[in-house]
Amino acid sequence: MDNILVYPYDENFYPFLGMEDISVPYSIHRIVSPSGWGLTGLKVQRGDKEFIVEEDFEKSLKQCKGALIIDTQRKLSFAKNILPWIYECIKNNKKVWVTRFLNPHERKLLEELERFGVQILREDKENYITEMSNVFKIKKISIPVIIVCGESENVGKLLTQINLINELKKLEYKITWISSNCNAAFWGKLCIPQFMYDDNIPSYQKIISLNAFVKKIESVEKPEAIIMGIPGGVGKIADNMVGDFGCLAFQVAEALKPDYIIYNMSYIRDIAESRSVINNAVSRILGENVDIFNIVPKFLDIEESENTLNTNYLSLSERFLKQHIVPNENIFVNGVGKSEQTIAAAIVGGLGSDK
Amino acid sequence: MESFVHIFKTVLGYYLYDVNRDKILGIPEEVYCYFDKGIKTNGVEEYLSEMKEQGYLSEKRVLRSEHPASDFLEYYYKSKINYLVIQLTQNCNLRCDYCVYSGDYKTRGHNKKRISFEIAKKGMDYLISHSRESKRLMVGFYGGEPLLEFRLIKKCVDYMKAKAEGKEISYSLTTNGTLLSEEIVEFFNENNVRMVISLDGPKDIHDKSRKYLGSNEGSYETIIRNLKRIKEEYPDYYRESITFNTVVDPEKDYDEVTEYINHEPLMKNNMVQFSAISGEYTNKKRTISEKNRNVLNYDRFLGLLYKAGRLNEIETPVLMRNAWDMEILETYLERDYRDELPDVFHRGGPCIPGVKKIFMTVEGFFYPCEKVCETLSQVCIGNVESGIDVEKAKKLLNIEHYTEEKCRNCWAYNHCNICCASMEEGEMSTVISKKCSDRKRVLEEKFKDYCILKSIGERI
Repeated sequence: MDNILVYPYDENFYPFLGMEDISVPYSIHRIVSPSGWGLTGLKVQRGDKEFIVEEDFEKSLKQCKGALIIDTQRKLSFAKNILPWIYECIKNNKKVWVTRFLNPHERKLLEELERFGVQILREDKENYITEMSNVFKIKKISIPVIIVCGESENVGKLLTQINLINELKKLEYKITWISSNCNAAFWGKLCIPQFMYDDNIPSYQKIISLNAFVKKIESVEKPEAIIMGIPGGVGKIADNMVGDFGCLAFQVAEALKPDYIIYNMSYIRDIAESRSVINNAVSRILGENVDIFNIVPKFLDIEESENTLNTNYLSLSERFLKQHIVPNENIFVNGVGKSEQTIAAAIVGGLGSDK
Repeated sequence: MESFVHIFKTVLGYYLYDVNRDKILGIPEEVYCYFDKGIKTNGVEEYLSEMKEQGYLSEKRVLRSEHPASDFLEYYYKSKINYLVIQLTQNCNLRCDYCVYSGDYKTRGHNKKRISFEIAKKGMDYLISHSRESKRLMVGFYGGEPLLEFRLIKKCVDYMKAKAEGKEISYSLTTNGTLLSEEIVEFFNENNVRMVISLDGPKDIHDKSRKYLGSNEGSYETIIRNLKRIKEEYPDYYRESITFNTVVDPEKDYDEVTEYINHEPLMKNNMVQFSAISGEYTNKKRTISEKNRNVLNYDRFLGLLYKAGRLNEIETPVLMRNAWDMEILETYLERDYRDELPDVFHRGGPCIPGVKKIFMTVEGFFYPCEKVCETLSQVCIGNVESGIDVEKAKKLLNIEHYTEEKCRNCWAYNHCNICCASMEEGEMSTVISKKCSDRKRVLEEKFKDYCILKSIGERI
């Protein structure tokens, strides 16, 4: 395996650090962050791999075959902070893979650099938009669909998806994963099709096309289950923190009719009492009840969220969650439930029994 | 125990503030009289029953005082710091009469201490490494007079630009405006450093208080000369990045000052902050003269009319255009966020010390802000070597402990604004309690203004 670096690394990329796929002959060797993100020097352990977040791109590049330029929640200027490093890679004959979101101007610029080894892995268009003559039908998905969703962005959905897939694979299930995070494209994994984010495409067409997309996966890959992550949140958190009101989640649920729902949420003091209220809100959008409430070590910073009109979280520790929450039949603490049951075991039990 | 409510009236009606629900309700005069004088006339009993059925008039008080953020402090300090104010120097080239560092206040005085770049750098490193979950960083420069250390400001800005790559950074400083050379202004314009410039009104009023060190000469002419030059050479920067701070002596000058600000071309199109001479940690009592009270009240009336859309900006005194920051109050009062006070809670007032802002002194000590008394050890929350002391910060956050019994029964519980900036040497419960009646009076005025605006149907 050849070594690559990841830039600009942030905590949301952490679940990918242990990722490997036989079709991808590259292994992450270095993770580099802009110095202002406050991550420099941080030790990061993922499985048996250990990394230290670095700030010197040039120095790290010397030890790698190429650079993976990822998509991040944190904003970073393409012209000031990304493009110069792409040029640095080209200058040193290193490969570049890009999963970062690109506007049309940036995409065009990078397409012109493809002959120098730059690969854009984030599709601009998908070919799954159906001809909409008189077809308004969706087809039943014949295999279990497991949805990983959450109250918002940044509630650990990616880690939940990857951990779940790894555990189900250990139990020898064949799983197809449709990731909520487009960085998965580097390992050849499927991501939510780009047409789902296109505001010019009507909702009904998105639903039908997503259904067709998944039906095709079902017939070609023949998995035993599909795990799909839904980006964003399922519904609004408050009147001034609305996200997309759960529109994308609704469209996905209409297209796929989920068989099992894992809902990631941040810590609140009275989760046991609030479960039914939250479930009612989520089931109104997804059409089914939540099977697992997975509490992640985050706390909603209401003041900053209201000031920025965007959900902002304070990271907690697992220790804090264990001190304050007792897992029960469907409340899990960061992927672990009562009697140390994992989500994978709960799903196998749940889907095996009545679905 | 009585219902936990507070009544007040305006020229337009009678009101009841329910502390448990954090809501203001309009009430009939008879109900007001009942709460005010205990007179129960026909219909009052029925009205009160209906209010209780709707969940109002609860007697509940908080049982135990603890700020909800207490459990999370260690996590906030790990990754949510975002604003560092660096005290560059304790020196100043002016000696303003009313300055809190003039020697008349129970805090440090002017002296020649200045920060080393080494300590400033450690502070900036601390800011960067503890701001992972903050989207943007803010760095403020403070004094004394910070422009005495312009070279240091440059070094700090250049350091942040290099070390905080990938984060949006904004800079600000408060200055007396006398040292704004061309080089300084050019640098500030290039780096979008927001300035608050102290200007107290026309020459005779400004120069009465704001004089050069060791001289009787006032600073007005120098400041005006500088402002004219900046406005001509950098009109966009002048308009967008310069704010004025006007300190008014309530005993004397209010109407002359407002008249000046309303017409002075260098000020009237900029944001002007208006503050009275500080009443914190001093034994000096300041009162407002009858004349100034009348002018102030009339201006407040004009400000309300502006807020209600009845006056345009030009007709409104400059100091009143932004005087009504009701949005936050409206957000709370119009939100159905609880049926009653929790058993464990904390009154309004304290911010999370160190998270809203870290004020770092020349020696590298950390304080919650520059308004605190720097000689009081209780308000020091750490230092640049060992970081924020979570236990000390927790004590300041839970400031209600000094006056727990009194606070729990106070109608201003939700909207109190007494924090550690009011703390000074002495028995703390007495020190804090002294501020109560004045703060309650101001809050009630705010409630009244809110009700008047709502009564005439205006969005705030």
